[in-house]
Amino acid sequence: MKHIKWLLLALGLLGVATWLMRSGEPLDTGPRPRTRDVRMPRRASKSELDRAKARRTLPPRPFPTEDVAHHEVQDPVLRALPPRSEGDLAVVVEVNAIRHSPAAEMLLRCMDAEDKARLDEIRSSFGIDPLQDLDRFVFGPDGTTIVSGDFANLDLDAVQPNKPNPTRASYGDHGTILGRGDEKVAATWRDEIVLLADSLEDAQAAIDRLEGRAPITEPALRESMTYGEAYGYVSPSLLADMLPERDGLREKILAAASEVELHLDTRSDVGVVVDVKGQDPAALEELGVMIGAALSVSRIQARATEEKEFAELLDMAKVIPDHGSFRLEMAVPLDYLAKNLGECSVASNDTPR
Amino acid sequence: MTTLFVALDVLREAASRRWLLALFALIAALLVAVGLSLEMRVVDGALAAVRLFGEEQPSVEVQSVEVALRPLFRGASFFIFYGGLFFGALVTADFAPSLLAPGRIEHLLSLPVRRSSLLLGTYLGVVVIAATAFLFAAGGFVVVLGVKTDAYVVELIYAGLLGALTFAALYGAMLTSAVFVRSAAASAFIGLMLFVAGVVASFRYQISPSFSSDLARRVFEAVSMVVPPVATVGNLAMEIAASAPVDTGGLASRMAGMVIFGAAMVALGIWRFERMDF
Repeated sequence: MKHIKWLLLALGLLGVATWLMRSGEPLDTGPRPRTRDVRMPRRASKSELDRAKARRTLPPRPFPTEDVAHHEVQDPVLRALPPRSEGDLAVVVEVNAIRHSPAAEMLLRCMDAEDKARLDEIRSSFGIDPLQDLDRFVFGPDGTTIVSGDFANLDLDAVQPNKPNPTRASYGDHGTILGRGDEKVAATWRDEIVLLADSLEDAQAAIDRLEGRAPITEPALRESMTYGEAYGYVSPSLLADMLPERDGLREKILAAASEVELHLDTRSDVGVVVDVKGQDPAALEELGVMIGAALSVSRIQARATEEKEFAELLDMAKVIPDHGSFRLEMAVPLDYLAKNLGECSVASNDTPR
Repeated sequence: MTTLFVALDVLREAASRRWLLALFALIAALLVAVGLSLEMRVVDGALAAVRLFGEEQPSVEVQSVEVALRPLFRGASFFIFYGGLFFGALVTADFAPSLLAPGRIEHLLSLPVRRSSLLLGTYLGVVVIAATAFLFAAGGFVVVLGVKTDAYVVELIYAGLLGALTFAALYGAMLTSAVFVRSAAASAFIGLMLFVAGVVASFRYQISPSFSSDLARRVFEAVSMVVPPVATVGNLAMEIAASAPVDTGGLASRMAGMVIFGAAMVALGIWRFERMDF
């Protein structure tokens, strides 16, 4: 009996050990970085191909030679765009799709009274609801801006560039030139498209392309690249502005990159893919490494300055080399957005409609 | 104090054993092999290219070294934790049976040393040896990968530390089993069985619903409750190595539970040892 104390001690310790080992079970190991969970727009999905197909609303144009056949586009927004020259910008933003994305829903929930008042002002001034009636917004080459959507209720006088002396002239079958401002010319086509061009000739040329009177040229954006909620080409200088500048990175981008293709996906989280192409594969490879290093240094700095959330974002940024080009991928998980927006991002019933 | 002398005696005996030295040499050889076979091109903290055994690895993403190598750090942590436990259970299995071997035990009991000190000292001595091996492997990985990448991921040390504390729980049961059955094979078997049971017990919540019999499920839940959750701690070691956030309170609670489990097993062994006639 004198040794029973060891047995009692053993049983007592086993009880304590069990309680400690099982307390709070199951143990949450915390959220992992979600790089692989974030959907990246690397190619068109079935629904995006269907969307592109459904947008072929224009009749095909007769093409003079076979070699220009692949230039034909029947999507009014793509056809209205002027041809793109190297280094120029051509980006489509799928406004309606983004507006209904989880990220935009969060942002809309966080709109303050001033933002809502501004939205109401736009509704009353222009006769359209930006949250309902806009479909796409395009920043095109040569300073052309195209907006597509439902403009049946648009107040045409409100979009006059030269409001003191509004003019309105028909052009082509369905075009209307809305007057000439100091810098821009506005025009509409059917109730579907509103465009702003640098000159009257540019506005008329866009309507000519829409109505099949202009010669077929290579489109600024091919239908095959219309995937994601924003897509298109940006200039290398814009890419250089987006990245942290160090060790001549900007000059290197301008020298090595000739084409920068961008795709953004907002269907769940926010994923951004930037494809960079150039003439010199070696220079491009070196550029990819430099960008990766710049992101890495920024991440280290963010960690050092306790900007943990920004460092987590940079954790998910990476450069993927691909034989003579490279891809830059960045992700913004919804958790990150929610954390930064605060409690207002949580779903409630007062989302602006 | 006598407990510490016994522990030191165990360390001295371990040093004289060539196969323990061989264990450390094996760990060192593995680290050197990893160091020599892995070539990385690192630019400003970003991994740009990797060559393994002279072969260029395709499609390496240019990313911060710490982020790009997270799978490697997870793998290293897995290797240190599970490999250490597995080999530790095998390598240390005959310490306790040799302590109780006829001839030696009578000599030890004739010394002015309490039986409890004898067992406790043996336990501490073996745990110190295992902890040294765990930390040697973990530290080696930190240095090798640090030299290769300039990123010294000290989080890998936690894998060694957690491995050593988990081993303390397993070895408590191994030591006690040796008191009951004086056999190195039985001691190793108990260690490995507890290791496997610990992995199963870590997933008790997922496994439990698969029992069709209510009685069987309750028995499983009751038995698995007292088994150290080896895989839970192993997973946490990997998460820490990959710089993922972990519930430190939960981890500390489990580690304290592991250490106390080891102490409970040793107390059980002492209870038996005190009642034995030699």
